[in-house]
Amino acid sequence: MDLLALSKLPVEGVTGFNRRQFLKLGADLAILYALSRAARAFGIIDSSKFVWAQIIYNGRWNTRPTGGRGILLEVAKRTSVDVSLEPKGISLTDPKLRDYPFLCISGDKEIPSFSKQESLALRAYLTSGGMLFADDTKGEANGAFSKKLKKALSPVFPEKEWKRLPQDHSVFRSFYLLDRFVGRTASMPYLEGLDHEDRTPVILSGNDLLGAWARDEFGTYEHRAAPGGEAQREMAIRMGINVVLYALTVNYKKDQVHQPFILQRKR
Amino acid sequence: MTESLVFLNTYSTYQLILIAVLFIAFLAFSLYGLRRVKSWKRKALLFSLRLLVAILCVFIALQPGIEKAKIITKKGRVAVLMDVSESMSLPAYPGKKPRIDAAREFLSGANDLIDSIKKDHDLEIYSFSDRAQASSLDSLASLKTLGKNTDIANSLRDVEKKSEQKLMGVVLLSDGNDHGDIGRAFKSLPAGSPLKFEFPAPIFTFGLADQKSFRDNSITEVRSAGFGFAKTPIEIIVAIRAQGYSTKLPVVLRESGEIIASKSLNITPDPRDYEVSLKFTPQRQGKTIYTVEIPVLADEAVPDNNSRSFVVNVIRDKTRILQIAGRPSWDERFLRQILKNDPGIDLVSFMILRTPQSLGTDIRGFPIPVEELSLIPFPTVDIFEKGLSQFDIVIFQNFDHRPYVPFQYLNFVKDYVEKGRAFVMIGGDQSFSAGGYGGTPIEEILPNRLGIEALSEGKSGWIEASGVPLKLTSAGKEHPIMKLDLDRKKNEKLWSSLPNALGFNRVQGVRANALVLAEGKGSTPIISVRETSKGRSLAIATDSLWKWAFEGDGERPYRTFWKNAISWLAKEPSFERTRLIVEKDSYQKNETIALEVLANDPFYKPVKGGLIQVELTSPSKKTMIVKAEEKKDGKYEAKIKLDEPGLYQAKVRMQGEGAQAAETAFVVEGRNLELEDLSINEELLRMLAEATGGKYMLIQDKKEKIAFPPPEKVRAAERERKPIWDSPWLYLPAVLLFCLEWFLRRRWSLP
Repeated sequence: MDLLALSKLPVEGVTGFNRRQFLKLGADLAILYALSRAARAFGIIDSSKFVWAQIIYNGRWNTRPTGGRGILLEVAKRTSVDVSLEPKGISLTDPKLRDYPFLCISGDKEIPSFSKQESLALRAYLTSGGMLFADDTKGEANGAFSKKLKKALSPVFPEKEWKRLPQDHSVFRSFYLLDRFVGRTASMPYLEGLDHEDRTPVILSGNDLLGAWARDEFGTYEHRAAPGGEAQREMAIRMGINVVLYALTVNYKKDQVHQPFILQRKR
Repeated sequence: MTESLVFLNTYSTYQLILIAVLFIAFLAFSLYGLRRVKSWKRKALLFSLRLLVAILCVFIALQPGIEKAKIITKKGRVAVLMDVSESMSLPAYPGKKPRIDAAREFLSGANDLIDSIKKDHDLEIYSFSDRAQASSLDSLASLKTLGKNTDIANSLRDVEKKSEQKLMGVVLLSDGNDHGDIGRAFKSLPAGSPLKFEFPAPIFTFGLADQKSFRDNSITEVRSAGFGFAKTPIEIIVAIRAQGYSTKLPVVLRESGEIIASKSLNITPDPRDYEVSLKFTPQRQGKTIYTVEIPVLADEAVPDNNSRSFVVNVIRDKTRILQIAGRPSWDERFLRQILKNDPGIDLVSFMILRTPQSLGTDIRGFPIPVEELSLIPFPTVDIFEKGLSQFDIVIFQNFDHRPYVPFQYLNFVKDYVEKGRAFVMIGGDQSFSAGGYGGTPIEEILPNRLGIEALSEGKSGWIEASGVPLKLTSAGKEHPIMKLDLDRKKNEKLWSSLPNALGFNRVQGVRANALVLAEGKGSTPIISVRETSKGRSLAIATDSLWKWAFEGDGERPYRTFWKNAISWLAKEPSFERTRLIVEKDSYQKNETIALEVLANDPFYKPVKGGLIQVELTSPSKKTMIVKAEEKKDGKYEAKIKLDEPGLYQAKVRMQGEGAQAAETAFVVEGRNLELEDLSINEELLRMLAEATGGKYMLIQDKKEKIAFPPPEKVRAAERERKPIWDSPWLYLPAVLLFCLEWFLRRRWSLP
C-alpha cells in the first residue's frame, strides 16, 4: 500500500470537511499510524532516531552485546533524545553505513587492520560528520585493542595525532559536568581522541564503558564495576550519556550562553 | 632637376625573352664560326668585336632614352602642444608664476626654434587637456586653464590623426600631471623599467619649474574595501604626498562632520609619499560618505587637495539566527554545524536536552543535583519578551512549544515576522500539528494550514515513512532557495538524486499566497515558503534533510540549500525578486550612470513588458524619475548623467500585482583630478621623451638644441622623356665595329 497516496490536500479557501471525509481521514491516519508503528517494530523503516551502530569486523566485535542498548535506555530515560533501542551491527563497507552517523567499535583483543576500501569509507564517514566511539572492553589502559585500533586508524587519518581530551572538552559537559572518567574499570583516567576541524570524531575509552552499561533482559547489570561499585557505574553511565549528547550537539555547551552557568557550577 | 637613362620600349615579356635568345644564339654562332682560328688572341679579338656589336644592337633594340625629373622637398609637420588643464594654473617655482605662463614665456622666447621648424616643416599649434584642439601662437596667450582631466596619450593620438602629412616631431609643454593611459602606465611601472609608448615621431618634453621650491601636502588616495559590516571595525589606508614642510600633520576621518578617527603623521620637507592607516567602526547599515582631511598649512600651493571623500557600503554585520530545537537530533546537529561554521552567521542555539518527563535520579534512585548537570533553564521570557528583535531569523526545529512557551508568547513571534523578520519551522515528531501549532499565531505566519491534528494530542501529524522522494514543483524550479546548481538541468538532476526523506509532517494545505517548492508523493508539501506582510517564512515538513549532508557526494547541496534559504529569509539583495544594480559605487560628474533593474514576478519568472521607473533622490533631496527601458529576460535599464556631487538614493517604481521594492545608492564625486597630484612629473616627461626618440629638457636651459628630422626629398611625378635610340650616332659605332671585324677577317684570310 502506498502510504502517501492518502494525502489529497485541500488548499486554503476550501472550507471544512463533510462527515464522510472526516471519518475517512481519521481511518486513513489510524492505518498510517498503525503501519508506521508496525514497520518500525520490524525494523523496515529508517528514521532520524539515534541508533547504536556497532562495527562488525573479523574477530570479537560484539563482546558486550547489551551495552549499547543499556546506555540508550538511560539516554531515553534521562534526556530528550529520541533513540532506537535496537542496536545495529554494520560493516564499514555496507552501503547503508551512512544511515548511522554514530558508530561504536569495541573488543577485548587485537583487531584486524582495515582494508584500503574500509579505510577510505571510514575517513569519508568521519570527515562528513560521522562519529566513532571505541571501547576496550577488557578495561585496560593502552591494551591490545587500543594499540591495534590506533594502528588500524593511522591510514584513515595519517595526518592526525591521538591526544588526551582536556577537562574542558565538550564531551565532559555535554549533559553532565564530569571531572573524572571511569567505566567498568578505572584503569585509564582519561579519554583519547582524534580531532577534525572543530570536533573530535574519534573518541577512545580504555575502561570498558560498554561493560558498565550492559544489562540483561531483566534489567540486571551484567558486570561488576570496580573498584567503585555502583557509584562508579553511575559515573560510567553519565559518561555514556555525555558521549551520545556530544555526538548530537558537538560544541553546543561551549556556546557563550552556557559559560556563566557551567563556570559557576564547577567552582 | 635630375636626368637618368631609361628604356622606352614596350616589349612584352615574351619579346624580351626572344631578344635574349637571339643574343645568345648570335654569340654561339660566332664562337662556332671562329673554331678554325688557331691563334687564341685573334679569336678573342674577333669574338669581342662581335660581342660589342651584339650588345649595341640589343641596347638599340631596347629603345634607350633620357628621362628628366624634378626633385621636390616634402615638408613634414611639427606640432607644439600646450597643456591647458587646470593643474597648469598652479605655480611654477621660482617666482610662483602659473605653469602655463612659464610655458608661454618659453614659446615667446623660442623664436629660433619656431623659425627653424617653419624653415623645414609646417608648424601646428594645439592646446590640450584630454583632447587636442587646433590653436595658434597668438591665441595660446589668451587660453584659460579649464581642462579637468589631462590625457596626453589621447591628445597625441588626436594630433597624429589630424593630417596625413608626416609628423616629424612634437614639442610638449605640460606638467606631466597625466590621468590617462600614460599616467596609469607610469604609476604601475616596476622600478627601473622604461615607459612603453609607441608614437611615430619624437616627442620633446620640457620641465616647467624648479621643483625644490614647491610646497604642498595632498591626499592622493584613500584605499578601502568599499564595504564593511555594521559595528565591525574597518581599516582604511590614506596615501599622502607631502613636500616643503617639516611638522606633525594630523590626519582626521569624519562622518557627517564628526571626527571618528585620527592619527598624527611626521612629515619632512623632501618630497615623499606617506601612508596612514585609520580604523573606524560603522554604526549603521547603508552607503555612507566619509571624509579624510589634513590641515591646510601656510603657503600651500593648493588647499583643495587636503581632503578626500570615499564611500563605504555598510552591510548587515552578520545574519543573527535563533535556533530552538525540541531535542538533540541529527537534523539539529548537521544544521547547527553549518550555521555555526558560517562566518556570516551569528547563531544562538537552545536545545531542550531534558523534558519534564525525564528522570532526574541516578541508578540508585538518588536525585542528581543540578550542580552536576550542565543544563541551563530555557530562558523563555528573555527570548520571547526581550530578545526576539535581536535576531533576523528564528528557527523552531522539531520544537513542541507547549511545555516551555505560553500561548500568548507565540503572538510575539507572529508580530516579529509581520514586522519584517523571518521564521523557519523544521519538521519532526514534535513539530507542525504534532507540536501543537494548529490554530496558534504561528500557523498564521506559516505557508501551510495545519488543520485538525492541532486539536488532538500525540503525534498524529507526523508520519514516519522511509523513502519519500522530494520532487521540485514548477515554483521550486524558479525559486532562488532551490537553486543548488545555477544550471537549470543540472539543478533538477541534483534534486532528483538527493536522499529520500525518512518521514514528514502532514499538513492540511497551503495558503493562497504561499509557494510549495518541493513535495513528496501525493503532492504532500515538504518545502514551502510564504511572504507575510513584510516578513517571510519557510516550512520544511521533514526532519531528514541532514541526510543530504551525510550521504551522497558531499555536503555541498545541503550547505547550498541552507545558504540560499538564509539569504532569501534575510532578504539579501541578490535573492530578491526585484533588484536595482549600479556598476560602481561612485561616479564622476556627468559620467553616464546605468541603473539596471532585474524584475521577477511572485513566482520568480521574469516580468515582461513592465512599466518600470527609477526614482532618484539627489543630495539636495530633489526627486527625479527615469524610465527604465526593457532589455530582455526581465532586465531593464535606465541611464542618466548627474552633476550634483554627493550621495544619491535610487528606488525602483513598478506597477502591477506582486511588485517588489528595490533600492540602492551611489555617489557622484566632486573631486578634481587635476588638483590631487600637483607636483610636476618630470620623470614621466623624461620617460615619454625617451620612449619616442625625443629628449627631455628644462625650459631655462637655452643651450639645448632641438633637432627634427630634415624634410624628405622626392622626385616629382611629372617627367620628361627624350628618346636617343633613333640617333645615328648610336648606330655608327655598331657599323664601325662590324666593319673592323670584317676587315680583320679579310686581312687574316679568315672565312
